[in-house]
Amino acid sequence: MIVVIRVLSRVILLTAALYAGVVGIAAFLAPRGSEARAVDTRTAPSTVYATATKYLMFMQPALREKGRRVIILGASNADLELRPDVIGRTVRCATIDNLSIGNENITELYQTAQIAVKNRQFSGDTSDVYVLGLWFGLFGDSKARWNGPGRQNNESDLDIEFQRYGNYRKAGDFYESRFGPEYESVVNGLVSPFALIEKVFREATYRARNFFFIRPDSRTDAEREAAVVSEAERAAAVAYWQQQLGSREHLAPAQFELLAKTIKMLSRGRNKVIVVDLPVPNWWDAAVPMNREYKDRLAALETALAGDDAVRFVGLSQYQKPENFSDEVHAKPSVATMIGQDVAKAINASACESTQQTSLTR
Amino acid sequence: MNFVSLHFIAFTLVTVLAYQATRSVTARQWVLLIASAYFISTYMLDIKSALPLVAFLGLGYVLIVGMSATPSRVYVAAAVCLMIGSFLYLKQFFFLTAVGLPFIYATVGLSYVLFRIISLIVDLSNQDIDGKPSPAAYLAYTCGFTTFLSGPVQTWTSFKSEYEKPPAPITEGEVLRALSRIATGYFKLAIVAAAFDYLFQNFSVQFGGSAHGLPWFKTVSLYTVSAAAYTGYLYYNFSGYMDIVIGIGGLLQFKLPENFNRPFSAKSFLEFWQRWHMTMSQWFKTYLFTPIMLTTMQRLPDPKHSAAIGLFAFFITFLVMGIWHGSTAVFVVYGVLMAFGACANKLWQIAMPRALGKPGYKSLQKRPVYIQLCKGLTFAFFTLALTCLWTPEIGQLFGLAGRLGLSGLLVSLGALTLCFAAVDTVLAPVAAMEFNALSGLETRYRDAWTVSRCAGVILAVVFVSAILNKAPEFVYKAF
Repeated sequence: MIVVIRVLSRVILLTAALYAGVVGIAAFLAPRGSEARAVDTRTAPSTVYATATKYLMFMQPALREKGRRVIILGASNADLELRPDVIGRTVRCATIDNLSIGNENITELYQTAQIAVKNRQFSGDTSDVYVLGLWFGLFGDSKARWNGPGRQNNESDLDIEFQRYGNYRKAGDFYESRFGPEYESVVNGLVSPFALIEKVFREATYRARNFFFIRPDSRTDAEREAAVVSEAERAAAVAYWQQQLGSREHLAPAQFELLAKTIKMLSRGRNKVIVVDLPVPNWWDAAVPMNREYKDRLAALETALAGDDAVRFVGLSQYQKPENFSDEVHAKPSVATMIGQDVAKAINASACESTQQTSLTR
Repeated sequence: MNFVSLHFIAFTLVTVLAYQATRSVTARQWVLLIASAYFISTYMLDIKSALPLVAFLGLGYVLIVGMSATPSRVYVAAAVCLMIGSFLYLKQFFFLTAVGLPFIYATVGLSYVLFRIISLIVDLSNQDIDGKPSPAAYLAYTCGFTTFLSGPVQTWTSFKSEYEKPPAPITEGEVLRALSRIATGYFKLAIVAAAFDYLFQNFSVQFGGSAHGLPWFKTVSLYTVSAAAYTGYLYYNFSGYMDIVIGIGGLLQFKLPENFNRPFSAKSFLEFWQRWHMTMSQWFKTYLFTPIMLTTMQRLPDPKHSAAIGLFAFFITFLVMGIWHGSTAVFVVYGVLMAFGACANKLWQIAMPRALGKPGYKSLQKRPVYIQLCKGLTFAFFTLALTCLWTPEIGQLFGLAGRLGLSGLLVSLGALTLCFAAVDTVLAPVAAMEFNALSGLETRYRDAWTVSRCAGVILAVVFVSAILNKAPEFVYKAF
């Protein structure tokens, strides 16, 4: 027995030493949430964290800094059209954080909002502005959106990330650091080698994965600007989103209830919420009934929240012409900049100026 | 209990330390029994779900104890049929689904328990083994945790000699060899097989399900690479599992038989089955093929029938072996394909010497191009047949076959044959060179090398499992 223990001890010691070495390398290469001033999930691919969800998990301390924040929540169109650099040109009284995650639904948006709220609590009494970039594609049931291997309980990408290393545990609706917030950065540092190794794998297999499995939109801005969406591409997009939403007819009512809950949670205290109805090409109206349902339900929510000064709704229907879009949902770069500027004015009115109304308010 | 889990590692560690802590044979036997009972209990939902397995084991033991010193052939046949019938019923083969038990129960490991019980019954009746096993030895033999899920199928004689041998202190060399084997197993199971599974999942999703509008050639291409990836996944998953259990056997100083011997170096389908899941193939040879051959030859003693008898015995053996893999109708197709492969191979071996003459055939067999093509065809045929294991519904299998068509299947067979032959031609000599070059270093720094390899594999397994976000399952336990 002693022989077995002796040999196993050598193996365990060497394993620990090797792991410590990788922790050191990861600590050297990884950006630290405690040192960053703002969070922008768009930069995730260029960091060691590689994905928006992993980046968000590790960069949470960056949200704890004192000072007013404008926090953008939404999917890839919010990421593209509500760029911090564009909004920051107009909004100068607050730090802009982009917490958008591509292809999410309201369930994941709610989780992202919880990350924001929980971390902002560290900076005391906040007067932040939360900007929710919405469109009908966010309102698919989680059973349709989050299924497949490893998602027995319809776990979102954020769930998967927070469950992956064991450094967080479920507490209520979301997760908390397993060993408490005081040890969170230490524990996250200890698991950071996983992110580093994953990044190395991703980089090493990037070309092969792109060739065989993934077809990312690798178009340049000039190509996006010149893009014309064909009938076949529209039909493919309709089929894709019907599958993503899990229905050809209806959106999930629970997702609207969750949106209302999210808005209520975010608008507590001195915080404000701006709900932006991001534009999509108007051919969607004829293609699926869900866009109309979304507009109607959003209007009903706006009416219900009409007396709440902390919540403002912004519509951008002037951008719905199909020629403004490089695909079924994303605005062309020049249009995206205009959308960002328009939303920035609305944010400015809420966050930096005393004016309560803008021309964009419906 | 997942093999890639802290639970399993802790279980193994406690078992090995408890086993090595004592020098008493009886105490070690009890450690094995308790460990096996605990291991099996982790696959049970509750006590009720374990009852069918307990009843199956009890029936087997009653039939063994009830045998006289010279049992009649009727008793032996009835006992074997009773065990097989109980097995088919408990496994809910597709023709028995209407009369199942009214509660959920576990069938994991049942196939291998059946193999061992039948071998005990037959070997006792043939007086190939001395005496009936004690209840404890019977349970340790049929339910030993290292072999319970998917073998290796150890013979009673081999098991007994290990089970009853006097304990000797384990040496550092033995521990290092065992750990090295376990590390190899985990590397195969959790990294190589997981990578093949990743490829399989990502390729197969592109032509399955809703992807019916794909061009024919793209469908065939995606099917071919998916099938090849699945074969890689199955092989590394299964052989990795075997390395782990054989390694654990090493830590317990309990020698288990090998189950794989470079199966894809086989030059024919029949040779392949002498290298793949060897203990199961040997079991079928001993308890099905040989009795069929002997019985039929007794009835048809004329030598002119021997070739036909051989083909018949091969057909039945491989058909049963295929059907054994699962309880749905798809596995009948799998069995037919296995039987077809074996018979076609045998017919070729009979026909070629007649066509070319014995010297001509021997000369052909030595040609490198012929050898590589034979290896490639063996891999390709097995790979296509394995489609049955990843298309669980018969309608799904026929739907896929319909989309591919005969021409698609032939293109896939040809592509896999040529690709495998080409890759093997390049890699086999390189692998041999590397092995020779490294073996000297490995001998010199064996201890440090083994410890480093184990540490490296532990880290790699943890990293890969986290990246893929799932601990790899052992796939063969489902069969």
